[in-house]
Amino acid sequence: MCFLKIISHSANSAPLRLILLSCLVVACPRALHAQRANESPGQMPAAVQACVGCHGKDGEGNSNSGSPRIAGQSAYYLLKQLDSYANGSRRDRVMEPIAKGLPPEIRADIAAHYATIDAPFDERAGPRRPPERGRVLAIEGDNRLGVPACRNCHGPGGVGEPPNIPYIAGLDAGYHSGELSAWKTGTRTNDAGQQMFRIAAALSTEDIHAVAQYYASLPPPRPAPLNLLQAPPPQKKLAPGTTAVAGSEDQRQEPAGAEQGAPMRGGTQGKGATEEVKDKPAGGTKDSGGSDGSKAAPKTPTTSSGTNWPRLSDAAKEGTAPVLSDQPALAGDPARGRAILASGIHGCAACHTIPGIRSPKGIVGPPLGGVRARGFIAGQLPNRPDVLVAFLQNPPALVPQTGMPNVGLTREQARHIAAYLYSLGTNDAR
Amino acid sequence: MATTRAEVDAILIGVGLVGAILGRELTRAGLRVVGLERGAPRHTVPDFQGPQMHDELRYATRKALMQDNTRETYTFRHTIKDTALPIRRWASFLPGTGLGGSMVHWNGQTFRFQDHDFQQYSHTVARYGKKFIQPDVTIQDWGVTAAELEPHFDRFEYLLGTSGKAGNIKGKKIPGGNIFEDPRSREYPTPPQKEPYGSAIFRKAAEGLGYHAYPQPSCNLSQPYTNPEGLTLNTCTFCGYCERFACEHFAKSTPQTVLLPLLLNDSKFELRTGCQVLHINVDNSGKTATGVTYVDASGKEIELRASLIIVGAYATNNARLLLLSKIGAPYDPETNKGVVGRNYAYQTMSYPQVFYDESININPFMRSGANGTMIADFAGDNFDHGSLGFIGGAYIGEIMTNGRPIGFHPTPPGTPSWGVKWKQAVVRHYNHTSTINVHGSSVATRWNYLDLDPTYKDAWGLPLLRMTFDFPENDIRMSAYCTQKTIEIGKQMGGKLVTGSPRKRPYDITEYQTTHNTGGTIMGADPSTSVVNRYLQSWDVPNVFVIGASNFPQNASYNPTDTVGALAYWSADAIVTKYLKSPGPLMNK
Repeated sequence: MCFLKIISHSANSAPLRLILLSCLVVACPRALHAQRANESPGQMPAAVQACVGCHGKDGEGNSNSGSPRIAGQSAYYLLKQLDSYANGSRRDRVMEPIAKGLPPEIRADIAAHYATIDAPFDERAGPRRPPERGRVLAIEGDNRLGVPACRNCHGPGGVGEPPNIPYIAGLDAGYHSGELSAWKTGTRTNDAGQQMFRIAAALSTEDIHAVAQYYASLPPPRPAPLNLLQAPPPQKKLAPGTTAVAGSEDQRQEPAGAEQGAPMRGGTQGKGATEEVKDKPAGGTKDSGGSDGSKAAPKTPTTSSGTNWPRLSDAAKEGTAPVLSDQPALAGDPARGRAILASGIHGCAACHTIPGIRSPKGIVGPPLGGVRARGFIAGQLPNRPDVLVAFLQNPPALVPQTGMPNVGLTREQARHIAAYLYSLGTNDAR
Repeated sequence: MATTRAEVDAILIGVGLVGAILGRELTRAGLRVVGLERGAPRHTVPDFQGPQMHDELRYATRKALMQDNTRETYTFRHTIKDTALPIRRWASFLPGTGLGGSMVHWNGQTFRFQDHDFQQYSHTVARYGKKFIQPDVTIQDWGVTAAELEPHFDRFEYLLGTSGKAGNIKGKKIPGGNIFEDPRSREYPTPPQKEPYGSAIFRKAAEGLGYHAYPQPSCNLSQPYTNPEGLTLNTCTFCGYCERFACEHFAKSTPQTVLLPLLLNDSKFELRTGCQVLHINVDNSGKTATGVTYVDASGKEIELRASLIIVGAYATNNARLLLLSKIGAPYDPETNKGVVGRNYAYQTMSYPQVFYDESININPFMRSGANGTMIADFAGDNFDHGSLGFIGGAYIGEIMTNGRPIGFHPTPPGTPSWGVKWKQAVVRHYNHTSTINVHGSSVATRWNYLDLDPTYKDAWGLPLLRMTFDFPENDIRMSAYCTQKTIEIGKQMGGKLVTGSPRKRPYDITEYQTTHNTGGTIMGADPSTSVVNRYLQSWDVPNVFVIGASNFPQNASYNPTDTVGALAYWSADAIVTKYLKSPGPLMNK
């Protein structure tokens, strides 16, 4: 609260005020919430209190009660779900009465509130070793069942595609499989294209369980850039001093979009419509404490004038951050990699000649000496550690025509093997 | 020396749309069938999955799903006086390869040709007189009627699950559909896709001018659909990656989604991929095909014997295969004799654009390959040509298939083609521009044809197909008229600027226009002017059936796939109910 006061007293220039405001909205949601509470006493606290009980104080979810993580899910998506509970297209004994009891504008406020929260995620909470079947469905799909891979729409790593496609990474497995079953049985029907109905209907109970386990093991993304959060702009309820700038800017973009549906980039190119969305502070993900957040705040999105829509590059930067964290670092142990290869369990040497590994010196695939000096993996992928690790785990997923089968390496194993292969000198090739 | 393999009942040359349909029908009739596919086996999972499938550079720019023209291409020239040169990069049209064929990368635009398209010669003579047809224009009748094909159109559309709105059910015209279409027996299997904003603007403008707007019939489905074969398709997600791409969502009707899973599980069917057919073998009498010779994936030459051969290897390749196999007399334009390669036709496209101010957001990325609103008031002979001096026409529609970042950069005339100003113009106009398709017909002429190139050979040492083509005067006039009509509609669409010019000569093989190559093995009632009879059976070698857009004597205003599918079912029906009972010519010469 005192931070807010400082802003309203010291930020006299409009651009500076806007910058500080944007920072606040992203990094300091609870401060914002408190601010709003001040303005309309009795409304927001009560409304959010209704959520906190099950979804946690920051919307981080509670697996004991089967309440999903909602922090950082887009406002559009969250509002749609609340509306769906209210209109019966999504059924739940707990959520229906709550949603029905909330006036539409309060639903929108709640949605906007949780959309901005970067809540902590306990990586140890998810399953350690999710079933392989879950990973296959998530990134490959199933031809026989006519099920496309989840990541076609929900993005690599399940990070979603805000505003309309939710993230599914880091969702509680019990909740997730419950929802897939709801699609399947028809108690959830709020999907205009019926894609989810069709997909879930094709999945068996075991498949549903496996895919839910898989996504529960992945970290959820951080909140999408402020500009993608398309709920009714909460800014209009801010203190008068700060509202005018941000609120009116946002309003100006609304009419065109409202009529034509999702103009996510409409009007970026207007004159003077330059805007910079800088990188979020490093390490901000894990800092959920309010004071830490506000310290980090000055580095968050800054908007100069014109429009709030992001540049594509920025959206990508923001959106893919969790994907990068999902990618394996090359922290493998060459000795363990050699041991895995030498064990013969995965049959690597049946096709490849690998220096340091005895027999059978197969010639089906290329010899692996001097891999680090090669330009490409499998003749077409860039030879980078992360790519090699991903390729080893599932070669046909990256190079569909490759003759190299998926031998069922875990990421750990692939990392160790990659480390060993990169340790081989070019001389080993001969 | 070719190795000989065990004889089978029937061979499919090419396993795309035609191969999949014929394979299914022939195995059902009890035949043992081998499908020879020159390309790779590929399936929705894992081959078409995201995010790789949305690699625009790989698939749209570098055309990863197309025929490998380092091994096999066509040569091209404008007139018989020119020397043809090989096409080293696909641009004007994009023949596919691999399991599922070109239908894997199609847009899903699904139209029936109209009856006057099938009777174009006699209809034109009856309505306008013989003199109305310009000299050297060699249009002719197909030998079938729309009424005969209706059950097969119906069956094919229900196989695909096409999303559309009927305009004529059993003779009753239905506003909101294509009221010019011939009677169909029932409604489309699924309702039309959602209408995009730009298309809604077009609808308003077209209806304001008194035209009959209707939704583009689409094979990117509007809702889940289970076809009569028991296969289920998903709803399209409007990702905008249809044409040149394969669908990752099981939402586009392709052989992979509507037939192949059943066919590949059928013990009577065997798929052999990586098999390049060199020629069909014909016995000494010249009247019976004995099988085919192909090179398998390991480079071995194989002779495979069969009593029935189905050629379904894409229009142009069908013609080449007959020429290489010496089935039917090659066409010679100088003497106007011979039939194989005759009446090659194309389509005559133009693309006016409407540039809006920044208050109108078109969102071109939110599309499917067959999603929009169109009119058929100027298609085929749906309007009076009496004073116009040309035959044929165009459908006109706001059917933007995509807004992909590399390919879609609308800029108004006068914009520099590179540099800062160009970039600024792209940013300014990307989301505020509508493109209107003027999808025009193509007449056949004496001088547009296909034959074997005397110079250039493919990777197997066989002559390439030579294409001789330029736009006929008739079609230049047609394009001028229909493009003008489109610009008039564009002006009613509220844009700040409408641009567009009709198609002009010379034909530019380096600019994408359409993959609707037709003719070369045309169907008809007269063996002196057609390669196959009305059942698509070779006049010369009756156990060879040639099926595809190569059967079209000339090309209509509409996209060809629906008509190819109907012809495939029509021919399959004749084979199963007539030919197999008594093998031999189904029609007398």
